[in-house]
Amino acid sequence: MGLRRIAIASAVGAMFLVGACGQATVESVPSTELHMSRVKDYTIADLRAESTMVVRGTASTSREEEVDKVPVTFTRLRLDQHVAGLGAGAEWVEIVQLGGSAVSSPDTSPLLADGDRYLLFLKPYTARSRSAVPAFVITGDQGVFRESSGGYEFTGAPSDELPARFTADSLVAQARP
Amino acid sequence: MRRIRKLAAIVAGAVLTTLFVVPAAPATAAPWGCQFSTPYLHYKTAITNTAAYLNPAQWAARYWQETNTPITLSPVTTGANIVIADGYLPSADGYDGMIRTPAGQMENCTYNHNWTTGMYVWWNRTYTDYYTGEKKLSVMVHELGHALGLGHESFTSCNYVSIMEPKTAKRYDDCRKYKPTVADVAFINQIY
Ligand SMILES: [Zn+2]
Repeated sequence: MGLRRIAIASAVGAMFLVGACGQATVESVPSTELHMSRVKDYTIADLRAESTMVVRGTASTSREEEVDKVPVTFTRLRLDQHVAGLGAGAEWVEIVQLGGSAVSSPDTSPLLADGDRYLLFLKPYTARSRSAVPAFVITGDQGVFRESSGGYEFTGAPSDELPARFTADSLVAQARP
Repeated sequence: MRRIRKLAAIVAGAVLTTLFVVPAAPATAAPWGCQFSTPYLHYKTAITNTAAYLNPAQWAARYWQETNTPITLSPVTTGANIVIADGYLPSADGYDGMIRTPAGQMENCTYNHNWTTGMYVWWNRTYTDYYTGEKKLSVMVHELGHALGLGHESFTSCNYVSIMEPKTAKRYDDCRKYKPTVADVAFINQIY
């Protein structure tokens, strides 16, 4: 009896495992792809010139939407430091990026990761957002740098122009006019 | 098995093309190998600014249609494989063109090997409203290249720059490419 119960429990457990694995596989398969034509690669000077605001912030939760057939992710960002340009007039903003969890989008910037800290060059998002906080896009989709090992790692759309790593002081100094 | 053999043929073909059509320049990409189930394709325009974009949309399709490939791209009003649109894409800062394809991994085609329909390609008017007709074409002929199954290609020398160069600053501003090149045509002929 005991053995039979163990066998049933194992079978049920295995079914759950298979189910879980199956689901994980399904979720990891992209349902949509985006491929882009890029205007140009941005230099730090381009990013500085075209951005209205440069900030340091921590990424939080995100939501996904389709805006005029385009899959878009809105990530909440808690502002930790104003670096240059205009102020956001808010403690939180939303960062709008192309793509989503089920979208393969190799040409665009990877989605901001919950809990990671970034330095961002931003422009206002010109379409309406559902959220009450101000929404911004990453300038040229290349003005995004993640804090790592005491410096910054470039995490924008693929670039032949921007270095892969910056020291914290040098990036902040270059972000200011 | 048939697919593996076909993929091998494509890879071999790409290598040969690289060796003989564009010698001395290292290829940085190859066709995805994903394709429509037929080369006889239909497109529809969903253009808002017809004065500025309808003509370039028709010419972009025509440039592919006129290549020495099996591809035909005919205009229709319903049942299109590809929809060509213009719009202000507020989430696409830094991009002048975009294509959205349905399910399928373009880069390796591990499933959904043959597309049938459901592709949207856009000009991002935030940028392209300031482009000449030829430069608008450079963007759309590039995007339609993706629709047909081509991936990005990057070369330093303009002699080798393809319509599939991802940056308009290089593809058009530096190299004035706005039609499919000989290498692009060779790649299309390998996958159709
Ligand atoms: Zn492209």
